[in-house]
Amino acid sequence: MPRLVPLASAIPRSVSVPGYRHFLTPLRKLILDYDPLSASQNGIRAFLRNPLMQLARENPDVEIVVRRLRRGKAAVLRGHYVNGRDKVICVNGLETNEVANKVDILLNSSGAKIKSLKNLTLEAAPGGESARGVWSALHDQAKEGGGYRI
Amino acid sequence: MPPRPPMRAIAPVLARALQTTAPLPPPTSTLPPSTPSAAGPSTLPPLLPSASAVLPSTTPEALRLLKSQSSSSSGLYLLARLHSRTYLLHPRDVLTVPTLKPLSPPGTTLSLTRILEVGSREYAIRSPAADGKTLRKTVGTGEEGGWETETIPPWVAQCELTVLEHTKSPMERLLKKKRRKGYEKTIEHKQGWTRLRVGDIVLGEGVRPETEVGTETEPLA
Repeated sequence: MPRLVPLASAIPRSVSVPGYRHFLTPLRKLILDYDPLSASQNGIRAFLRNPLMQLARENPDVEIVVRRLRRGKAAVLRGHYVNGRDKVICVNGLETNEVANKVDILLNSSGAKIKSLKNLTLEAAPGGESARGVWSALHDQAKEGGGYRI
Repeated sequence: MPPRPPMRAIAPVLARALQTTAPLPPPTSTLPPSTPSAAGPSTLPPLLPSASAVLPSTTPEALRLLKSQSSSSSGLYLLARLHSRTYLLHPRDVLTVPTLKPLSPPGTTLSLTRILEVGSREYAIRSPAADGKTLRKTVGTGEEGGWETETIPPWVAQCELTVLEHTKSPMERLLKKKRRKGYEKTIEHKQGWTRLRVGDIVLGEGVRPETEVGTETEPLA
């Protein structure tokens, strides 16, 4: 008897619909790794001293972790998202306002893999049928005589 | 929020029956005989029911028809304008548009202010602004009627979009070159996008309220 593998698509599964009637901030944890002695990391050090406190107060649902690195490592921002992915941005050599911009990128993202959205204007509702239904040649009122007649 | 122009008394918004996909009625007569010689006039019922339905004359009646066929989360669609494009939206759809500025944090709800049409499977309420493509041709001929501002008002239908994220597409690298002229350059471009989740389409009573309390959601131009 050959080994029969069940089709994943044959088993009905629930799909989550983020952003519909509820909203969960996609960014779960923000880790800021810095070197206290490196000269190129003045920007992130200045960011950690003041603007970070305000940011943490404004985003209470994001866990913010600050870690000190060993000598010779680059300053990095890591964002961990609810979908299990993470985004890593190096902020070595950036000024404080530039570091703040990178933090905003992490806050505004959903963690989804970057893909071309040029031809993806409208994604239909998961499991949703259109309100008007599917066009049928047999019921086309626009046709002369109102559709096919047998 | 910039002050909106005062709404004029809207001419009765059109409600029309849309008959495209109708369920087939059960056959009431027997099948015709198989031999062509014995076949008389067709005894099959017509495929479509006769279009003799009486259409409502007031907006509340039209809304009642729409509500009888649908709920706020299914069975309804709307046509809405966002900046200069029209979108056909259903609840729970994901709409991707170029980055909406000013950047609002993910989770913000934005309300649709220019709704052109709202409908269910067989009925639709269509505003004069929805026919802009043909009405635009009358501009300058003296027949302008201010149709641009006559969209579906909030006491007829409302819908909100939730900002999911502001993201960017992968880097596109375009090479521009003219041969034998020493002209060559590479243009790098990352398009910014805002992804929005369409919320429920909430139908109102159809009557303009006496005193309206302003909602706190940010209007979307």
